[in-house]
Amino acid sequence: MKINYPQAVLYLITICLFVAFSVIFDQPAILIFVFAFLAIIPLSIYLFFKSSDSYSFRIRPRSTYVEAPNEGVYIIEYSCSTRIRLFTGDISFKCENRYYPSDIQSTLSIPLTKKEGVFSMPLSTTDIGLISVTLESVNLTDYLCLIKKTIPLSLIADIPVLPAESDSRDLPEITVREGTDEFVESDNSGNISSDVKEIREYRPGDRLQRVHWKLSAKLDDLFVKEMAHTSNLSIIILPELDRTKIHDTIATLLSCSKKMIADKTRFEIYVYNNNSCEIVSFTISDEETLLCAVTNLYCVPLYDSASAALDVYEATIGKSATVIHIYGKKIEIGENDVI
Amino acid sequence: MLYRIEQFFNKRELNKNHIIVGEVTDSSPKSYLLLCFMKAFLIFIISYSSVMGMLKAFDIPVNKPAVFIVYSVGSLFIASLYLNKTFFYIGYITLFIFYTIELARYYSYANSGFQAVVNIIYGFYSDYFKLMSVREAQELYSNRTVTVTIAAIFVGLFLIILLNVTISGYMNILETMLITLPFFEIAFYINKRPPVIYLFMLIFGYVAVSFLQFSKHARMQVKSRHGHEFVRYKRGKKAIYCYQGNERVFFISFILGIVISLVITLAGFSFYNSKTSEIPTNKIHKATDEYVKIFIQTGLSGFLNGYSSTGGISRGRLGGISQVRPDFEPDINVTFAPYSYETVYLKGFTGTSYINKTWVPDLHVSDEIDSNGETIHNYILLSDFEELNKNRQYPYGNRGKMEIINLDVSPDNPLVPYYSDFDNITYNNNNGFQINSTETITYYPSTSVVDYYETASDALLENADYYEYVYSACTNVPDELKPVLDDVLTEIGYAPYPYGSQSFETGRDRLAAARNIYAYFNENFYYTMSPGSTPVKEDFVTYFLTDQHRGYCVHFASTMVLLLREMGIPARYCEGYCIPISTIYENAVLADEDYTSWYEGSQTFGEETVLSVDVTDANAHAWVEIYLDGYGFVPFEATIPSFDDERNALDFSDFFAGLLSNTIDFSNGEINENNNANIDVTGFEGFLNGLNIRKESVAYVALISFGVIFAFIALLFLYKWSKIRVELCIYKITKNEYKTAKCEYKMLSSKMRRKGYLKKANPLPADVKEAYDRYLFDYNSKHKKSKDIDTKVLFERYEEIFYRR
Repeated sequence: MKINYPQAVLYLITICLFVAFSVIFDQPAILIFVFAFLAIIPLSIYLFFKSSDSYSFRIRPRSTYVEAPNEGVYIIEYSCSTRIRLFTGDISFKCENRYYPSDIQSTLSIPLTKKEGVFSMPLSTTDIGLISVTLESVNLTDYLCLIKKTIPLSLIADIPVLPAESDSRDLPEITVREGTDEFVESDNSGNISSDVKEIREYRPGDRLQRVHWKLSAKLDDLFVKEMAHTSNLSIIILPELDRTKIHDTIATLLSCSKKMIADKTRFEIYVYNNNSCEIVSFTISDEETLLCAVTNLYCVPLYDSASAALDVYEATIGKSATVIHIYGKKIEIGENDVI
Repeated sequence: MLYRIEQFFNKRELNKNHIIVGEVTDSSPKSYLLLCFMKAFLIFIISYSSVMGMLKAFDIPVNKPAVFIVYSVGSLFIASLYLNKTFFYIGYITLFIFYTIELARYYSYANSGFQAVVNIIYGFYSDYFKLMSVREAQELYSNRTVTVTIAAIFVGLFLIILLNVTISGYMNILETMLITLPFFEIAFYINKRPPVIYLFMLIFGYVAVSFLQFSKHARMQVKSRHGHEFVRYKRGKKAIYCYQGNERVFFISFILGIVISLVITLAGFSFYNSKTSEIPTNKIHKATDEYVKIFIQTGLSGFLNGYSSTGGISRGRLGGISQVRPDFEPDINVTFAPYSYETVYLKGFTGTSYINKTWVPDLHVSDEIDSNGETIHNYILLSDFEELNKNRQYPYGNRGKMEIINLDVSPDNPLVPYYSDFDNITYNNNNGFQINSTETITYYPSTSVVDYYETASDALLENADYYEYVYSACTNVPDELKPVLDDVLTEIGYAPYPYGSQSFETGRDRLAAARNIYAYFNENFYYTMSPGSTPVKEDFVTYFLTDQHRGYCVHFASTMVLLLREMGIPARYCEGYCIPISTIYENAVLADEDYTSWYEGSQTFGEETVLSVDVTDANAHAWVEIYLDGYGFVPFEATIPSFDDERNALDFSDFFAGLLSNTIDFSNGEINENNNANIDVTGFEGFLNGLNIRKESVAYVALISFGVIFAFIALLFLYKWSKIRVELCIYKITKNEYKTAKCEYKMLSSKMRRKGYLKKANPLPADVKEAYDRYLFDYNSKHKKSKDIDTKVLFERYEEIFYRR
């Protein structure tokens, strides 16, 4: 709880000027107005204390993804548990496309006069990527803005922006060279230790089935299981997330993936993380898993090279599979390191 | 248009930040009409209570239901303009056209009502301050209830338009109070109290507006296809999205406003009605009282010593007029029998004492310093001496009758010709020299100045007080003016009194001295009706003699009086109207009257005729009176003739004043007509004349507008051009590698876009590089001196700085 000094000082100066005017010019009648402005101060502060602790805020995306140039819409909600309500709350938020990090702060000033309020906030972007909104805090003020209270929120919501649907007729025919139908996740139910390759922190886009609920509950944070597969996949898509051709790369990746999903071909997407120098794999069987993979992919920093992912893949993964290397609109298909 | 501008800036920001918040909306529907109604209610409450409170505080008669209905309908209409953008633009234009037309139609009623309010309030202020004289504005209609109601409606509608901006637009309590509280303050200042109901309404309005202002959700909302529920504005780098117009905020504010205003009004009722002492208790209050007194008596010009004049009598106030623009409308109609070719003077004002750029009619006898260190001037009233002068017998042997009809002259200035029989001045009604009244005077004119060349015995001078008045008061010159006057007299060939060898005992000598001064004026000064105003710190006569060297009748008459006085010749300053022979020839019509009943005695005019002359404000004049023993104060013309037609001349400094000369002026109740009304022209010039707009002014305005727009655009370009270069210099000096590279990259991108090599809306460095390569190729193929730039290295550096920062 803080005093809003600029506002309070301004308010008091105005009142003092009226008092001075009244005294200098012997006009007691003017003091009536001063009394009115003084009387509303305690009233305003009293009502603020009665209601400032009863607000809660939420944010959620309205859709799982959007296609550029559509806007990703976020729903901001609040609820108040008392009958006395404040006039206004200033929500400090940050919105960014993770491909283009920025530190632009914004404020959303909403009325808090209802029991529950819902506001929708669209974010426009011309670029693909993961657009996210972070509600950092909310400032509550009394009716006269004399005192304020800052409540930290730290609420985050993401929406992946995908390239618009592209024509997939020109895509080359992809044939599986070996390992057909070997991709089956473990049929064992439960967490058999042999199936779990590693446990890592939750990333946006991870399937809920992979959440390690017990561990998450213990550590108070979300963890997911990275499963060890019983066999190698037949098809691997390896996108080059080069900065200069990212839009085309993602568009081609999606076109390619959607075609394969339509053909009921199961495949993996390998995403190389330039920062951690790791390759993360995502098994794609339907549009949901594809979206999960793309969301993860959007969190990876972009490269400055046209063959960074391929070089690392060739050096580290010794897997026998058909590798589809995507760079911009260019698709190269090869077996293992023969591309 | 605004939408396109908005889109342009959004696109720019999107290109810059890659993301922008779109149209934020509230999921629950809201009624814009209800919001407008609530704002209209607030506007009505505040405007109605402030205007009616003031009127009722002074018991000014007004038709309350009419005002109530017009204010409520007006508030509703004006507040609903914020309903949507089409309403907003069309509604405001319609409103202003309607307002102007109706004001023009009912102007005389509104003006009369306004003057009635001013007169009543001035009356109360005059009583409060115990003032001897009060400004009396002219009321054209006697039914004050009707005229005040019409005036209140027009003033109120204007107030509602202002409040619509401060309440519907900005919801600002301070602006709202600044506009409306002065109405109450006018009453409070002299211990008058508006009825409590209006106080309650006003407090309710103020409290509600205070809450609404700080709620942030009660400001302007104009809904349309491109309207916004959340308004977006920037504070520094931070973008703020603020919700507009929430009904619940209004409801809560109204409830709190009613509760608080009720409590305060009931609790402070006795306090509100308590009166205070009328004697100021501190210096600020006292000084303010003095300014209020000045304002009451002289208007704003009393503070500025500057005002525009449309002719007429200024009652001895000098220096403030920069230009005289007569309206050429008749001020008086004079019926008389002309007896000579000499100018006939009709005196309305006499100035005896010259104090602080003003001719005061009364005799200034002494100054006192009061306990606060302020100067108090003590006077003896002129009327005491004028009573003696009424007994004077004029020896010229002629007798005339004159009728003066007051068409548009202040009743404070009854006009009389020279050598009048003051006991035989009659009016056709009991109100004196009011508008449309007729004054009948008997006078005993002299047909030639030779009549009073020789000194005659003067019985009045045997009265010691009168002698003191003539030979002491009317020869008095302020000490600070003496050096300047002495220099001028020396230049003319006279020495200042009493050291000079000349004596001015006879009328012949005194008139000869005046003629010499006149000749000096004629040789060294020139006449103009646009001399410019005297600087505030300069004395009027000193400035005229030393710097200005140009002026109109007031300048010449004032200066000649002081020069004559400095020579020891008793003289006074006069204002009134003159009827020169040219006016008689131009304007006079024959009156079907018997000549003998209008004039008896000798005459040099040559014809025995009775004429009726319309005397306009252009004939308002100032002249000199010289005292001749045995004949009293006789008029002398001090003003030199004008040799050029300056009336239509328009210099640069005046064109603003003359741009729209047909303006409605509440202060004097006149519509000022254009000076060029008689010029018959057709075409565009005729059209402009029809609108009372000067052609020269249009040209000036067009020129200045073009210049301003051009300068603005040039400055904008200059700013944009220089900003990035200055920034670049600063970054280079501070060795900020990232920002230097960013600046250079930005300049390069802009240049490529300007040259047409870069078309993409959101280009990547590779696009810029490609464009730059093409540009360099084209440049090098066209120019002998090629640009040798390794773009690969350059852009690799940029990318390294940008992305690996």
